[in-house]
Amino acid sequence: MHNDQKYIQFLLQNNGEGIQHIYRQFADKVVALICRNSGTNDDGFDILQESLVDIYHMAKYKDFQLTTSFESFLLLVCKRKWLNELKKRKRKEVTNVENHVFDIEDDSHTAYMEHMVLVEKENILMELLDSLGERCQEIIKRCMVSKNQEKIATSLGLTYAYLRKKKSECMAKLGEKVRAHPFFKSNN
Amino acid sequence: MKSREELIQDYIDNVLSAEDKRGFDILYENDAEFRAELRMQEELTEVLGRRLSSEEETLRASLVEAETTHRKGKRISWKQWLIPLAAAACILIVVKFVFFQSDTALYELPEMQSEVVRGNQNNEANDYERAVEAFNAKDYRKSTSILLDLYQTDQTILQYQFYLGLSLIGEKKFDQATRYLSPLADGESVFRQEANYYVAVILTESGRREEAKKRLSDIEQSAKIYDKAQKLLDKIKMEP
Repeated sequence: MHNDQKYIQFLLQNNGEGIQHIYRQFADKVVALICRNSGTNDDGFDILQESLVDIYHMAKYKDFQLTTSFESFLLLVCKRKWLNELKKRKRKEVTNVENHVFDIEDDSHTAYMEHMVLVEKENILMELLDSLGERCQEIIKRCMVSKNQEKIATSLGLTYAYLRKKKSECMAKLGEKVRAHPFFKSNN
Repeated sequence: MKSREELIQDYIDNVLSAEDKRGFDILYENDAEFRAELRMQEELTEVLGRRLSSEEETLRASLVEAETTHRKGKRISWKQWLIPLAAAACILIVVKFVFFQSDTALYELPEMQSEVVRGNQNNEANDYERAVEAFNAKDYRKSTSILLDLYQTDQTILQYQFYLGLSLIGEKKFDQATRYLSPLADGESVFRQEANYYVAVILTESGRREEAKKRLSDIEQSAKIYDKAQKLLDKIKMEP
């Protein structure tokens, strides 16, 4: 096991002191990377936070093992995230991009790629869920975390049959949005 | 007759009736689109279930806290200092935050001894020496960071745990300090007496005087920290 796996554990265990430690060790490097690539300090901290959440999900879902230093991996995730963000902002002309993370860790980049693409896919799904109507979001969110749908129906003031019908409509709507999203179109 | 979407959701949630199951099976066998939709809905359900049941929100709260602390420690203009300074002053007055103010010596942290500890890797020894340097220079933020690393590397070395607890006291992170010191105070190691003392200091600071008194009374007469413990005990007893 890589020595830096402890940083992953800090995230998985939501270890407050460990997370402070991650910020002390790496935040300035991430912020500097983003600032050198058309971003601001705030962008840097946002990207760092989102990247750490992504790493948490990667580690939680599968038995994720670091094959490089945590710093290299974190910078890799941050860089990819920032490039995606820049694309979103339609500022495709990125200057002075540091490529050393990719260059040095080329093999590990490939190894990490599957995890990163998967988490991006899931992030998009969560964004699409948030783009549904409030009622649909509420029904889906509640039905996904509790299996007792009769209780959910009662608490929402619906009949069980109507909740089932609404849930299937909402999930179908979400499915349509997923199919129409460019990411899923290009990855199918 | 249920819609295709309802049949899919009933199947996924395992509530398909016998009659609907027949309709579902016919569609499944004869309709490729239906099968594709089912596969996608199963995948969506799996991802949503996992994501929505995760502790992401709790993690985010910790990340925001860490970011705030980190950014506060960086560039803060004099204007930004005013509000926290005023707030700190109010807290000092109103909450009777007297730690390190009166009887300073009782709350003073000991000097961290420079020595090679068990754990024979050179890097580890170097890191320990860096922690000693930072701790004794009262750069507790730095010493905490190094000691936390060392502690995570080898949790069997209680010396790391002890000084990590003290370093956190130096940072005034009392809850976290307690987490590391309490097991030592309740244990049987050589750090027991001193850990007990510093847990008592934290308890005093938190207004839990009876618990602090109990801790201090437990410190053995032969312990190096005994005299200090007695003085703190007397001080607590004299307070109204």
